[in-house]
Parts: sequence; structure tokens; C-alpha cells
Amino acid sequence: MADTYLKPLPIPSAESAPYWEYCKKGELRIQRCASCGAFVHYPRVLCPHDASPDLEWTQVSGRGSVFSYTISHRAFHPGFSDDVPYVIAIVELEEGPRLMCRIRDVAPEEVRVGFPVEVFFEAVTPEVTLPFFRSAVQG
Amino acid sequence: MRAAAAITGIGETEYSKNSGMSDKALQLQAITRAVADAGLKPHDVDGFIPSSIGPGLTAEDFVDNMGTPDLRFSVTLHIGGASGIAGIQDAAIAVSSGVANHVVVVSGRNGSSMHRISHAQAARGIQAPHRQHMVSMEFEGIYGANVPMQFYALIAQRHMHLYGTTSEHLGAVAVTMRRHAGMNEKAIMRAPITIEDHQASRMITTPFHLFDCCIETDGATAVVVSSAERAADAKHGPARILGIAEGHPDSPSSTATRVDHGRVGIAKAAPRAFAMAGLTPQDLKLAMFYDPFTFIPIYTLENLGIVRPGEGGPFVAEGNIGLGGKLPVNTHGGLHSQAHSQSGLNHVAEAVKQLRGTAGQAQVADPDPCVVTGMGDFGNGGVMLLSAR
Repeated sequence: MADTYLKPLPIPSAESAPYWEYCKKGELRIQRCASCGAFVHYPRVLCPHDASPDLEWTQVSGRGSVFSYTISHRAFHPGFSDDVPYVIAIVELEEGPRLMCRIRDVAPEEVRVGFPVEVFFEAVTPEVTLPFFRSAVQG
Repeated sequence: MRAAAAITGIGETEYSKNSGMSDKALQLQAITRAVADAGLKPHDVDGFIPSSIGPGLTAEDFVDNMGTPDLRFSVTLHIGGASGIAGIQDAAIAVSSGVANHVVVVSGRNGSSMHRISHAQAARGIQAPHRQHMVSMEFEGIYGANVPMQFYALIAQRHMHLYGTTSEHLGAVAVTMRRHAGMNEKAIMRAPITIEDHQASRMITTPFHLFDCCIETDGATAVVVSSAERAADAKHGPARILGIAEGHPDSPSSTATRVDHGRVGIAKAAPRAFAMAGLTPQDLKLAMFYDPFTFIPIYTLENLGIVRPGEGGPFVAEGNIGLGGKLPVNTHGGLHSQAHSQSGLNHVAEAVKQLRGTAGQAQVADPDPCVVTGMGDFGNGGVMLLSAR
């Protein structure tokens, strides 16, 4: 953990606060509609499929694959200047929902659409733990 | 609402890298030029639709300066590059229903010298983020996804994977935009470029090279929208709005969670706009496509139904969007090479010039009908069909 964390941090809303609390415990949980069974991400008040308010924080496998990606060779926020080139990806989880994340601990040029990834967690400040993804290529 | 409203006036400031004027002065210059172009007096305007981008000027700013005696209609949009066309739709609704007579839609800013979108405005505190961006900032900005080109790069990369779209296809758009800009005195970037120049330009965020990205300029553009009845007295022939619609993608605030990544707001708006106009995509003679990145005109061709998904890349590479091609696109050079800072209203101005026959070297022999699109916040969209007939 760096002494000074220069990247932007999440500012949780009433709906999203549990997501970050679970991350602190090392759990990736996504809202799931108790009524229709659909996964809902990002956090909502209502299920967009049937307007049900019964959204349950459901633990997911943390395994998925790269749906799309971009390798940024330039930082557009000063906090990322030391990270270029870095990989931003849309990850499709095994359970179906997608989220945007960084793929770390992998050579950027190895990343492809369909590349298998798994979640890991890192406490970037004493208060905030973020999920990241890394290669899940076997061997 | 077919042909119930028309664009009667267009006004543009100079497009530059450093205007030396305030954002407000730029927009007021564009407005007064548009009003004069319509053959109206400043006090004839009774509606304003400002853009929330950049300086965040309000109708009150314009009323104060123009001495507007009777403001009857005003609304502010917050959908980025879709705000221009969506704003014209609102203006058309207002004038065709009799709520107002002449509504000004305006956008502009010191996009080069002050409000650089490519410099992570949120981090620098230059520009307050729109409320709908908070989710993306919370879940995506934290990972270094901070600017539009990164979000569009993710869409483009997926398209390349699905359809085999190539960097050379993107480059064909860049080369075409620059060639068109070379014929336009208002364009900032006029020196020709080649595919080799495009490929050699530095990588910004894959698959986008520098020459895949539009410029950011200082400048403002305004248009006057009048009812068909009042447009009959316009100084220049009116550009009649045959069809117009806005559309929004599923999951508008996050590109990552969209069910269909390939279908954005213009795909929903286009069938409605074409139906209103009684036209089909095959009827189009000219197109002004919102083009913040070279991929977007390719994406737009597909989303409008002009070509099938996956055919956009080959279509542009075969020369179809250049002057003399099947469907010339952005004869002014677009956001890519003419100017970007006015919510795409410079595309509207160019469409109107083409329909009037005053587009200079880039004039198309038969530009009628012409489609104009807007796109903002990675998927909100507007589609407008214009005709002088």
C-alpha cells in the first residue's frame, strides 16, 4: 500500500455501500432480484426487469472472461501516470453480469476478448478495498 | 410533426485553438449571427435551449444579453453530444405547437484553451460532472477509465473482435475527414494525412491512435428553429425538419452493463425519424455523423441501418463516405478535423449550407435529403432528417 493513494476512490451511495463493505471482507457480491432471479449491476434501488425492490447481495464466483478491453498508453488522471500502459476491461462474470475493472499482473499484449480472469482484492487505503482481476489461465 | 418546423438560421464563431473570448461571448456571437442569418431581429427570439456542457450557461444568460422581451420556452439538456439534435427536437416541438415562434439552440465553449475533455475534467475540477456520470466515476473512474475515448475504445475493440473491423478501417475515416476539412476554410486541421500517417500516429488507448481522436477547439454554433409557417419568410430557404428523434441506450450511464453493446440510442431513434419523414436509409444523399472518434461513423452507419452490422468498416475503406462516394459523410471535416466543442451543431450548420448550396468547394450536387446525428455520453443519440424541398 502506497503512503499516498493518488487515484480516485469510490464515493458510495446508499445503494452501493454494501458492495464496498463486502469488498472489504474479500467477497464479490452482486445484487440479485429475489423475484425474477436476474443479476443487477451496478447497484440499484429497483430491479430494472420487474421493478422489484427485493435485491439480495449474492456472492458470485469471481471467475469470468474479458468481454472487451483497452490498453491505455496515456493517463487521463494524474493518479495513473505511473501505471501506463494499463489494461481496462469489461469482464463478463460466469454468472452473467458485466463490470468494468482493471486486469493486473499480466502483460497487456496477452489480453484478448475471451481471456479468462479471476477476481482478487487489494486494500488501497485503510478504509477502501477494491476488486481487481488477473489471469486465470491454467499453468 | 413532419416538416412542421425548419432551421431558418445558422451562426458560427471562428473555430480556433485560443479564442481570446469568454465562453459566453462565443455563444452570444454565434446566436446573433444565427439570428441575422434567419433574417430576424434579436428580440424576435422567444426560446433558448442551452447546452449543459462546458460553461453551463443558462437561458437567463441569453435573456440578459439579448434583452429578450418575452421568453416563452427554455429547457436545458444534459446528454453531451446528443444535446444538439435532441435540443432541435425540443425546439421543433415548441414552435410547431405554437408555444414559441423562434427557438435558438446553442452550444460552444473554449474547448481547447480551457475545458479539455481529454484532460480528465473531474480530476482538475474544471467542469462539474453530470449527475448521470456518478455511477461510472464510482465503479469505472477508479480504475483509470476517465475519458470518453476509453469508453468508446472498449466498444470499438468488441466490434473488431465480432466483425473483423481493423485499424485501417478506422484510418480510412480519419483520412476522409481530413480530406474534406482541406476544402473548408473554417476547419482547424486541413493538411492531408495518409493511412500510413494514421498508423504511425502514437497509440493513445487501443485501438485508438492519436489520429482516431477528434480535435478540441474553441468556438460556438447556434441554430434558429422556426415553425414551417414562419420559416416561409426566412432570408434563406429553410432546411425543413422532415423527421427527428432522440434515443437512449439500455443502461445509459454504464457502457459495461449494456445488454446489447452494439446498439445505442441512434438505433432506436432512427426508425422513428425515418418513419416520421417517410424516408428510408437508402434515400439519403448526404450524412453528417457525430464523430468524436473514427469508429463512431462506422458504428453509426450500422446503427442507422445504412449497412448491416460488421459492414461499416469495409464500407468506409472502399471510399463510400468521401466526396464523390455513395454517401458523403461530414463534408466539413467533422469533429475530427473541423471543430469540436459545440455538441455537434457544426454538423447541423454544414447540412444547412449543403441544402442551401453554399458549402463551397465541398458542395455536393444533390445533397437532399441529409441526415444529421448526435451522440453523447457513450450512447445517447439524436437523428434528424433535413430537406430543402
